[in-house]
Amino acid sequence: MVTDILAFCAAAEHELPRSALEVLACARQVADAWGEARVRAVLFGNNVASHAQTLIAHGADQVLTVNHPRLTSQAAEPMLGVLEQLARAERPAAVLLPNDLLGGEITPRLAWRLDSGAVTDCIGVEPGRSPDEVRWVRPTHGGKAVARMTIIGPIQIATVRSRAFEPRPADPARAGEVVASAIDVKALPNNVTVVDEVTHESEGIPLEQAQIIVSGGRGMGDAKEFVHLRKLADLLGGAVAGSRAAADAGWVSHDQLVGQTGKIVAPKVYLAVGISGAPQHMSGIISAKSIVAINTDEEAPIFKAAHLGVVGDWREVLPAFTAACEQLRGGG
Amino acid sequence: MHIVVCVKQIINPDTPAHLFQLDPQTKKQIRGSQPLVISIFDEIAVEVALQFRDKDKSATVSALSLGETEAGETLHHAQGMGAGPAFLLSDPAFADLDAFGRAHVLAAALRKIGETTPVDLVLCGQQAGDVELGVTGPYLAEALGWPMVALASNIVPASEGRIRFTRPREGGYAVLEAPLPCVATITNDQSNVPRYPSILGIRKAMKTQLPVWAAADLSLDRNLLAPEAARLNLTAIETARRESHCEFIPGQSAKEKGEHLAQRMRELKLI
Ligand SMILES: Cc1cc2nc3c(=O)[nH]c(=O)nc-3n(C[C@H](O)[C@H](O)[C@H](O)COP(=O)(O)OP(=O)(O)OC[C@H]3O[C@@H](n4cnc5c(N)ncnc54)[C@H](O)[C@@H]3O)c2cc1C
Repeated sequence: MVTDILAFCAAAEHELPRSALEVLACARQVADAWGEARVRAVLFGNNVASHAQTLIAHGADQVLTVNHPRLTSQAAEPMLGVLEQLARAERPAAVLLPNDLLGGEITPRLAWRLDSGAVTDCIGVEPGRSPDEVRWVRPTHGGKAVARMTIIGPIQIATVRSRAFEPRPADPARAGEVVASAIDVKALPNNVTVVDEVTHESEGIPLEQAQIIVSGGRGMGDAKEFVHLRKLADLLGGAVAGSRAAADAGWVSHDQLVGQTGKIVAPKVYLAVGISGAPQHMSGIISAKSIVAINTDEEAPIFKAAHLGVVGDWREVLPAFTAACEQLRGGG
Repeated sequence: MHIVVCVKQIINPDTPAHLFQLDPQTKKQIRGSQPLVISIFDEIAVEVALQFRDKDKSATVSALSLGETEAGETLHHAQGMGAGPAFLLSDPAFADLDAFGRAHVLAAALRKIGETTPVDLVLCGQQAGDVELGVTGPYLAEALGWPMVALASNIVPASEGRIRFTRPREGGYAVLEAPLPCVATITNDQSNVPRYPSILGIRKAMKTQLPVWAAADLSLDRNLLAPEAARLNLTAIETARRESHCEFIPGQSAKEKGEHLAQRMRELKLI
């Protein structure tokens, strides 16, 4: 019998998210280790079939499309219903989801219904040679510890952390089949309805896409000081972010919060100004190519992870740095 | 409207990395001299419930905790913030339960609480500040058979028998509506930074009798407390090592360091 691994992909209002390809990469790793295993991408959304070939190119053996206007990025409940029906009927060995809004809700609920365990926020997997040998690797205690966990139950259900798995390079020659699901989405329970959606004027580049992020923490001292960070970000073509202390103080918006409970970012440069480097903050920037820190406290934990560090008051360091950048830019 | 907030007591999550130690036997964090605190998102959930009650004075906010006797302090903390009734679930039989088992115990307690005052809404923090699994809220929704809303940041009144929540999302927020009773997990945004508990409130709470329920007080299938009922096994846990390779930028003054930083970043093609 072929072992199935389901990879959850939701492409509701947007393009296929990068997280879908990351989940596929994890599923592929597990399938290849087990051998005789098939990766089936379950693709949710409205008119999503166009993404099927992309998923195959990135590692899916089969794409099961579940099309319905109801399947928006806020509709965990019907997606949960689909996965439950699929799992009961076809008994896959594993279901993998991204560790986001949808995955975070669906995963434990699905595990409960199927009488299994759920592991969330995995940064790695040790697949072993069969489903009962899998060990899921996940950070705990704000990244101060790394745990290895096994699921006891009939099915492996896990979410993978954003940026923990690198999508496989697209191979346009890969073959795979596309199947439309016959499940009646309309008949599934959907108790939670979206009654309003409010979008603010968003300023600047989304953090997830920014190559350079200039981020401020409690050490900035005041909301108005963030103009210095914005000026620098504008100069370098980057985005402004903040720590939880900055977000709680209202100096940056919730959208700009970086860390375990905010955005997980992967810029080329993450410039941390007046940020101590708490583990919960650092877990959001693990994938940054280089971390540069400006902090008055040479003992600040941020310097443990930073590649470049300046011990000093940002009030003096930053204007000189910004001016020098301006000059370097001007001079080409 | 009766809101029950589930609150977990944890070892200070801000324990500095160099003081963070694990017990190889129990695979749990060694407390050392660290304080025990209310898990941060649970505290936010208490705040969210209280903000609702600030607007609707007829609402009751109860707090429920599963833990050792010390977890009573966490309930007092919630009461100091303004929560009303509090309930502690404590029994050696609960000590080694995984999240699955704990959810069964919490669900049994919620049913018992509901016998006296029906529960309309259960709030849980989005994840515990120690193990960070984020499964308790969804598990409770399943155990109780109620709908759930994930990662809400505020409760908004709605028509009879229904409730609304705001949920932050990229570039804005969504408003969601669900029938009561339901479960919500709570995340943070600018509007729900927890208030400080009042010392007076904590003192008052400490003087009132805290109901402590053991397994025998709950209608609970005993098999669910057996080690075989666990759904997760922690096979290994180790502290994460972070090597330091930080290159400190030299300079006579902070100003000079700033200039040198720009030059160095240019050399490394970072800017
Ligand atoms: C469950 C949980 C989840 C969390 N999630 C997140 C998260 O997602 N993101 C997050 O950021 N935090 C998160 N936190 C909070 C985190 O633990 C820290 O409290 C927070 O990151 C601290 O923010 P900070 O570094 O800005 O402030 P602080 O820790 O107060 O650091 C301020 C720093 O500024 C420096 N400084 C002061 N003045 C100056 C100056 N003039 N020039 C230069 N440097 C100066 C100081 O030396 C200090 O290092 C979470 C916590 C918990 C428990």
